[in-house]
Amino acid sequence: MRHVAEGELHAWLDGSLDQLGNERASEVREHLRSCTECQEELAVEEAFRARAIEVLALAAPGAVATPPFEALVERARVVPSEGPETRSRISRTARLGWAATVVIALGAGWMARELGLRPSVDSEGVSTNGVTPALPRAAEPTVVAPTEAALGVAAQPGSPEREEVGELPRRRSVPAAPPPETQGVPVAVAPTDALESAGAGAGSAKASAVTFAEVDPASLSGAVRIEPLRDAPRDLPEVAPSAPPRRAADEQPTSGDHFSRARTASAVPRSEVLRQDWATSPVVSGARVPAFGVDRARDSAGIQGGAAVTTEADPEEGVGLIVVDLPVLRVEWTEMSPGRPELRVLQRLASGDTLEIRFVRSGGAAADSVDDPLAPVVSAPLRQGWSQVVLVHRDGWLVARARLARDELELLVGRAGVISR
Amino acid sequence: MNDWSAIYRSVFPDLIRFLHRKVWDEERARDLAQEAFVRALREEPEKPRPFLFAVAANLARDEARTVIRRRRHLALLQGGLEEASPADLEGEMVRAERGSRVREALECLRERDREVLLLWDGGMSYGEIAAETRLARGAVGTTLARARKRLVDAYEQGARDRAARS
Repeated sequence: MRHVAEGELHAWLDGSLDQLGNERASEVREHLRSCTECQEELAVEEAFRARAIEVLALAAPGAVATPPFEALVERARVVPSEGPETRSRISRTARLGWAATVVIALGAGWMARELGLRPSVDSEGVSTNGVTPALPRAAEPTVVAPTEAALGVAAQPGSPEREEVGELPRRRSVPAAPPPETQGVPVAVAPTDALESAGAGAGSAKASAVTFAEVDPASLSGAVRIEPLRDAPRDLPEVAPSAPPRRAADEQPTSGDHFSRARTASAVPRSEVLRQDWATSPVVSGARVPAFGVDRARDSAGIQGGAAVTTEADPEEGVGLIVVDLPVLRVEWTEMSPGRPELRVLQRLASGDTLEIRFVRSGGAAADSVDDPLAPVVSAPLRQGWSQVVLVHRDGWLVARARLARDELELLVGRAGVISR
Repeated sequence: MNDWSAIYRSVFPDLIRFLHRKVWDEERARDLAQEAFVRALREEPEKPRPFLFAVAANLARDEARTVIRRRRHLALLQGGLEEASPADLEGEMVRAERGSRVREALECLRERDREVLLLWDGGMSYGEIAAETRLARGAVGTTLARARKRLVDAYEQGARDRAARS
């Protein structure tokens, strides 16, 4: 029989030999009775073990009073989002921030007044002191019905047309024209890769997908109603461009992953989760314009060379991450780092913006392969106006991003995973 | 149905010990241990002990991150970072000194080795450690053996270095 390995000796010393399996455990016991070489080795390992215990004991905490259990039970009853410490710290920061802003604004105003920087304009309207008089406030942008010519040209990636999509007002109504007959006029729809490049999906697109739809000409020349712009590209967080995808899109996360366990999903109807129109273009009234969303064919094929690989997840997987009462746009597995799938849930806020919540496991082979599994996620570029909140959640972290103030986002994310048992 | 009161009594000291070696502050370790229990009471996991240690480890990591941020901030404000002043009482000084030597020795270990060692010291079984760290059960002993040796070596080396300096 082979000699007993170092790890087996420690298992024996720790009383955990059975972890090796009954057969091997018996072999080790038998061998240690007869092999002097292994007995000597055991003595050495035993000395190391004892010394290590001594060293660790030197850093043992002093007597720490155990708080009453009832106090913890009481604390556990409090809604997580009303948690004490972090909340108060953040709100204090926010208060200080507001106070600083007000002080700076008042100070700047006072200084400007003292320095006489008011615009002085002569009879011809020319500034005499170098200060340009304020122009009348520009009129609010108006929605102009697109011409057929304009609509006939497909927007290219990076073109101004596409940029403007993200700047459309949330809701603007113009008296609607009577519903006319549909005639098949091509309508330019922003390319699907606009979404992908913004981090919504599976990496860079190779070609712009331009969709043509049948639109009523009368609706184009007359009244146009712009629906709330839901989840436009600007709402979606950026992803680290350097992360090459490694895991095949059809590969499922390991069975031991926390969220692969079956969970109660009563709060999230599947039909709601699997909405196809989670990212939509403006809708022209009376016209049949298909929404553009994530290109699921490309998702499932696994895009190479993109920013991240995403695979649609079973909605039930995301139950622990979902903020109740907010519509779920998508639940997916995504890789910000190669070989490290993370569950991501996209939900729609009342404002129409997107709330993104990722779950990053702290353990597991994938997490152990890096020093800080959170780093690739939390260091991904954050868009201006967005906040990011990281909370410990079960055996990992929730990383949430949205266009909200940080304390608002934290309050919101505190509701994640609150499901009826 | 778990008897949470009994679990609390038995696991809380282990959790404190585990956390103390991560945050190196008794009061903070106690706060984090309580927070871990509060979360466990809310979640009611099937396996409380592994759950508690997993949450505690995450809280400690977040704590470490916050401390680093605070230190950077302080360094910016003060133009440099000074070590915390030693405790007033002599006994506490000696303890703090020993603690810092152990801390330095622990920091010489690889992260996974340290985690396994501290989990074992916190009272976790080989099976629980394997589940928490995703190591094979048979690898826990090997990892522990390596961690213990490195800890002892690093601690003794630190002691020799200090003796040489003084």
